[in-house]
Amino acid sequence: MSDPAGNSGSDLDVGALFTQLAASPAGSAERERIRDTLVRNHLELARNLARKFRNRDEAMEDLVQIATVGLIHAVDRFDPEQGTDFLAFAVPTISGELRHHFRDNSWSVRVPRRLKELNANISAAREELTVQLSRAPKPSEIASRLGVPIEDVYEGLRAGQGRYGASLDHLLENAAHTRFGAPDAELGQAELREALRPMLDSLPERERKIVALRFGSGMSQSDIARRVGVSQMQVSRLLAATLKKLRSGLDESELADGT
Amino acid sequence: MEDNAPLVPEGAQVIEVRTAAIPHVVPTLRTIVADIAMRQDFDLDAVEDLRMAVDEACSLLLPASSDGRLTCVFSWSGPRIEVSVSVLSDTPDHEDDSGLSWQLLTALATSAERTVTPEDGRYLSRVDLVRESQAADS
Repeated sequence: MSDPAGNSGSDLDVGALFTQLAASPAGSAERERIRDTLVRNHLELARNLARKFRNRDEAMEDLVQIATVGLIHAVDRFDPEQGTDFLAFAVPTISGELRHHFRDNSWSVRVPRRLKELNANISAAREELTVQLSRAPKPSEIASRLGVPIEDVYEGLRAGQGRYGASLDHLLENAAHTRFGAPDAELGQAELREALRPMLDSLPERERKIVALRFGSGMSQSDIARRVGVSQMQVSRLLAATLKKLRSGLDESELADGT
Repeated sequence: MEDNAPLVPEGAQVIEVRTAAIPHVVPTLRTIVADIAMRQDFDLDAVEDLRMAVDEACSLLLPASSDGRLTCVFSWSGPRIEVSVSVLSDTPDHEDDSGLSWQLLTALATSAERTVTPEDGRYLSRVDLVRESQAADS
């Protein structure tokens, strides 16, 4: 027999630990430490039990979480005086915790138990029939398989919609007309800008400032003249010369890149 | 308004919903179509397909509505369900057919058609969907 707790590697004396646990006063550090060791040592058991409840609707991590809560309860409630094995006590406690979860929490919207059961039957029949027919079954086929009135199948299917909630943001996220993707119209511009940047950096301070004021801030030549402290004529001349320099520089760099 | 009603075959049943062109009505509309499909005994995959198709058709047209209204007509007879979603739009142009919505629609429905027709200085933008139950070939 394989060890269901999966801790065959460790030869921990669980019984002795529980005796110690019962002996140590509540709230003491020692008690915490023993409790911790016991829980950690049986984590694999919780995981194994969670796996048995695995279905496609519930995330495995959530189930392990719930099983672990069950394990902690089991460690806390186990009484070594009873003379039973811890595993014999832990397995039903953990399974019970998982069952409670499925009974109470797995539906986002509360529906009557009758409908939950009906929905479970429908899901099972749906899977069987899908395999048998090699296609999704119709409501009438489910009804005759289960031997229930078709109205019940309708009701059960509708109830199934309440099983999982959807985020309110879902609508907003889905509203847009997502495209498969298209090239950005400004892509060419971006490339030119990048090519221009090193040339702008290499300009003398005054020229760079004039270009920035003219094309960056959109100031008039006379405003720039006043700001920089030269005549408007000179601004005009400097701008023309600078632009010519940039233009020829751009041509050269394009040639150099071989594009 | 009668002009924008789609041609409904003889003997078909019809539900027409006129509502505000806001995203919140879409879940209601897709629940209607799912219920119709279920009661017409469509297989459960087809029910899901129709639900998604109506969702896509609505989200395609919602932003185009200029008067804030959306009309959705469901008609069905036997193994055939037709859904026609329409809005009045200010402009005749619509999303081209490369959008994800449209790709999904054509995949989900047996046939999907998009039309824009001038009407009183505005444009009636409409998506017509047809979904047939696979009953015939199984």
